Amino acid sequence: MTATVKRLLLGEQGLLILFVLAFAVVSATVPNFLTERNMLGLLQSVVTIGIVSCTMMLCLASRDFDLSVGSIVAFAGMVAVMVSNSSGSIPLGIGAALAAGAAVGFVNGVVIARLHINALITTLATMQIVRGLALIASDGRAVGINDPGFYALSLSRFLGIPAPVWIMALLFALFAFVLNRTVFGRNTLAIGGNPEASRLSGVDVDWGRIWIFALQGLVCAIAGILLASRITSGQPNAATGLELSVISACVLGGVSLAGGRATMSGVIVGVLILGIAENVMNLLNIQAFYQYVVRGLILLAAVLLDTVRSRASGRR
Amino acid sequence: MPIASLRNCTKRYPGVVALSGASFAVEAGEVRALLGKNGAGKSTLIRMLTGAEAPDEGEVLINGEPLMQSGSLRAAESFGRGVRVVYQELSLVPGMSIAENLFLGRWPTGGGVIRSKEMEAQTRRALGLLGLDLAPSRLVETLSSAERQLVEIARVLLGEPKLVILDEPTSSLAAAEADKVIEAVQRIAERGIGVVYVSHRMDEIRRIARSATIVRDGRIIDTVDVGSADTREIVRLMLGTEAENAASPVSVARERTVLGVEGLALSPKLENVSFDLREGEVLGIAGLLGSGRTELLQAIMGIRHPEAGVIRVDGVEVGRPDFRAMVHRGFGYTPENRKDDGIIPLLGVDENAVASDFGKVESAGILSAPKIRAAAEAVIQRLHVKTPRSDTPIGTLSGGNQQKVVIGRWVHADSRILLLDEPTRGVDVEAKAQIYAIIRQLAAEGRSIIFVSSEVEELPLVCDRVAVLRDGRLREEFHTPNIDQDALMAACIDAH
Repeated sequence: MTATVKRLLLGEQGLLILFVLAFAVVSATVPNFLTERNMLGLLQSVVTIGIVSCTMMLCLASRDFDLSVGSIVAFAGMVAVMVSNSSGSIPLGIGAALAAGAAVGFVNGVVIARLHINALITTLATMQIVRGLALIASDGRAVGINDPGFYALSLSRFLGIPAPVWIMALLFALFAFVLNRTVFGRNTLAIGGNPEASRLSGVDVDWGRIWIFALQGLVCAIAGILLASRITSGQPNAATGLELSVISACVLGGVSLAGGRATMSGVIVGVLILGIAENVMNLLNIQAFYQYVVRGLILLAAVLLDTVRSRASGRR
Repeated sequence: MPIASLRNCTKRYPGVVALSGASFAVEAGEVRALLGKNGAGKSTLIRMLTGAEAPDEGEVLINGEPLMQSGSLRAAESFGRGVRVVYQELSLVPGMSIAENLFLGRWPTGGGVIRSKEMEAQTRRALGLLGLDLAPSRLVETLSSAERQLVEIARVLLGEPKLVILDEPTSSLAAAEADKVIEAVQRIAERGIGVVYVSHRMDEIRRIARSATIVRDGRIIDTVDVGSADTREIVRLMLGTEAENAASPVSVARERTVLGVEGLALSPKLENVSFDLREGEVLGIAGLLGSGRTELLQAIMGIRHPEAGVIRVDGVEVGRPDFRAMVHRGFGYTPENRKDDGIIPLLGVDENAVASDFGKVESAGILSAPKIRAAAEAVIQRLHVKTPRSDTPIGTLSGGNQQKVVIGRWVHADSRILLLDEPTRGVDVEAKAQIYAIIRQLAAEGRSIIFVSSEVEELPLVCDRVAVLRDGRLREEFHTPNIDQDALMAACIDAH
């Protein structure tokens, strides 16, 4: 009996099994958890983390690191709101935000891959620069959205499910495909798994890393636009601390910080675990301060599980 | 017509002639062994064939046509004509499948999407050529080291290889595992592919190669028929005749045994190793790359845990060796890889020297700068370390001086049994001689030393006794003043 349990938990699907068990327990014990309203709210609450974790997964898998995501989300939201306000065109605002996000990511990538500056330091710097730009542009205040059409982005529904959740699901599917089936995705894992071997095999390691960061910026901009639409304004202080939640979700989902190991399904589970933990604590009226402690404990537990699993399977 | 040849190639690097008027040719379907000491010019010769470098004089022909390009295009040109090198196992990505590792960097695609079916089919074919029955989807991290090496070989079989170069493919493998690699090499040659096989294991060479080319001091010395040449003859060609045995040391070893090792086993490298080390004795351990020399020292120090065997210090059995406890018993260990494991490059010579025993340089738990300086000065003087100041960062010193400090660290700690793993690697000639003298001086003081080296020339200069590690056991033993280089080398490379 215990041997079977051990095998299940330490196997590839260990996290998924734990997740299903936890979900079942929570559904049975927490009132109002398993309602359509709450489920949709839960999914909406993880949209930002979920979207950004798609590319953070690629970034970590290639042995890189990105702390600037929270700032890019806020900055892109600001750009979207300000440009559409001044030009009167929502598509123009969205386009500008996407371009701005991708540009920041591209700069990150070039500095890291070409100038060989440590990713942690580089993105720590851009994190502050970009946040500063968002504050400067708005003079530190929230900028309201003029055109109500902008709200529609997050309010519109398809089959009863809000658009941002659809976009998140679409990105999950897209990046699962990218990671597993495309040259770009496999090269990403190869670069993280053994950079030197990848270089010797003819993989363009530098450009691979640059594109990952540029894509990360672009995807952050998507999250930023949706967030601005949901909170009906561009907020220069939006999404602070997002980078840590996103990295937590990825690590929870079995992405290795040493690179070379990542699955989209794992990351989705990681995102949902974080979302459920928060949701349940809200439903139980647990003070927000405790949520930090619980999130930290969940992260530690997940990493410990992963280490035990690695040892059990004799991974190196 | 040979598949690949060098015509009168000369290659100079600043200060050395790496290759001098070398001519060399390999036929299709031939396995050619390449033999020579470290630094004899083997790797330069290989780099000529792969186009990684161009000769200063002479030309390189692949498929009968000379390589014309220069710079990085030259390597691509050589690759395009079918020259492939099997890298060591570290060039695999552990978290990816066998198929993905084979196609890394040249994925079969349709519109950016990887055609995994085709990839797996081709992988299965390449593995089949080597007689391997592994699922292409298996992750490389689940493979044994021999299987990983075979995956490396399978990788070069994709496309149309004409010449395959293997550089010591079995050095990290135990003897039984190496068989699989040798069989794979035979299969490659049967397909009409030329093979250049670098190895020092004569038994392997006898099994797969008909002829062996011997390189020494940048020259092609001879190409011998492996079947008729005996090992002593090959060794003589490798080492040269000028290798007169210099003055042998005079043993100062005493009767008392300080370290006894009995039946030590650590799979897959060590099967059954037994020896005694006496007070004041310098014991040399000779053996090829991958013969388990480092593992032996690490097992004694408690860095690795042997499966069987007894270690006695001063006649008292050590239950379970553990590094700190062994240091406490008076052991000192200098690792093979000085740069990564031996020094803390940004710290001064002084702190590097006293790192083994901070207790000696503190007062009431606080480090005392004058004591550190005095201790460091003592090490610098005794071991003749050339350094501008005692607090100069050790990373700025030459390799030889770094090594002296690493040894000096254990002199500072008053260690009486020193295990030195390749202490002269990457050290210039003058510093080498100084290190030999230091070792003899330490022995004269009554310290006991195990000196591991892959350079057979230096062992007779330093050691009272040399034991040869081969196939997991200590085989022959040689005693000063009758340690003969040629015999030592022959014992290292040959199983009979």
